[in-house]
Amino acid sequence: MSNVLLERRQANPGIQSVTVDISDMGLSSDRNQVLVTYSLGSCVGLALYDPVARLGGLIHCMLPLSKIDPQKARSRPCMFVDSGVSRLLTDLFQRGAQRQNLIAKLAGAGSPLGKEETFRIGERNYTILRKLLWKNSILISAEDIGGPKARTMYLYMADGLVTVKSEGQEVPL
Amino acid sequence: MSRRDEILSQVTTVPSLPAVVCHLQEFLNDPEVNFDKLSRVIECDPGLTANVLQLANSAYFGWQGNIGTVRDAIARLGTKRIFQMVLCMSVAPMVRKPIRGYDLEADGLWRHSIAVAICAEKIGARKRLANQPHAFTVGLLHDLGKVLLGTFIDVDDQPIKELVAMDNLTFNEAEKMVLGVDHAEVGAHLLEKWRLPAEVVAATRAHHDTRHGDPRYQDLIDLIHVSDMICLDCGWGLGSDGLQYRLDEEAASRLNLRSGDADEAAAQVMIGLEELLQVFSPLTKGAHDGVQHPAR
Repeated sequence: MSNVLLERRQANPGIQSVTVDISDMGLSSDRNQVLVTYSLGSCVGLALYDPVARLGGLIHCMLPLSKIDPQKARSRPCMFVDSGVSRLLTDLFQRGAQRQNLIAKLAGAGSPLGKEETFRIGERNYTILRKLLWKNSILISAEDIGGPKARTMYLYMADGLVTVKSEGQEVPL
Repeated sequence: MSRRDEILSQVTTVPSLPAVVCHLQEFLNDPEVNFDKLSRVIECDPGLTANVLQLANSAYFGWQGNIGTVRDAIARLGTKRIFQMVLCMSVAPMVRKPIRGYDLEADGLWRHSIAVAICAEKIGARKRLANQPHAFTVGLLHDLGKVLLGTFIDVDDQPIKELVAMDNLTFNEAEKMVLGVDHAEVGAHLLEKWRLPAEVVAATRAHHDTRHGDPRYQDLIDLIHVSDMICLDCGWGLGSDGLQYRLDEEAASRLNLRSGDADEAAAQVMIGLEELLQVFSPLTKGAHDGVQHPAR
């Protein structure tokens, strides 16, 4: 059983995990922290890390576009991919991150079994996320997306390692 | 005794619903219900009274203004709402526990149940489905079978996971193949034992198998099915079964749902869930530790 968090905790008992809820964002520059988001189904998790500024952030977005509820998008921007990405980038740049340094990794955008055609929440989340990153000139360096499994995503602030845990296995992305 | 019989016999070990819930049910079908009589049933239990008042004043269930007495709450919110609130409080201790077998942490199934209840109610209202008074109740109870079946899945999770991985089966199809029964049916048996209304039992039983449910309750079955799928999609109560279920496109089309409807319902659920969980946290802590929480 691969478990990066356990291994790192054995090496550094001071490691502290910070939960990023559904529709929420976590930012950190503390090397002892690991940002974690659970329950990624068709939601998408995006981790951005600047290895020079040693600064990173993680968002867990539920739905693609904020136009369905602009009021909610103002109070909970990370509920939606479009407003969430924009908030994450703004906050990272404000804290000194540089666009050209950002390493982007994403996970989630899952879907139920079968040819699901009505809702396609995961697929639409992924499409919008890719488009926004492309518009912002940020390349995706790794992703683990699609399928029916539930995922947990970790961003280790010590070195920017991103891992995805599903079915008990936590694997580097 | 077959595995199925062994599992279903466990239903008898689950405690009955509190007497007040059964009492309230009798009042539900009475069009000329006497508010004083009904409020006396609730006021027999001071903890319950406090909790009903707290919920009645919550943003989700709430009335614009202050509700100060149980009688006032019944008059303004209606007997069905009061029943839903009491039911919420009665099942909370069962549903808030971590659920083994499905790897659901404490409050995982609780969050999912409330999310589906809200989602079903919102979609029902949006699609102007006539008279679906049980949408919230079934949403709340539809996965209760997981509480019982989880213990058995814990023992047999390998064959279930293998079936799911190899044969592209849904998780509940694999449950049926390995254990002889799925969580939907176990839940329906429990609700039957609790003497909940026939449509509540039928919609729980068919929430993953909409084509074989009681056709008299097709709207409710479809409503719970799509709400369950939307809430799993959004990550409320995702366990080891993940999204290993199939959306019945026909159910979605019978309800005339499009992708935008799912997004809007999900956004509404997020808001309602925050409002309701806020009220419930201190309430059900009382249910766990046996302490009655005073009114605000």
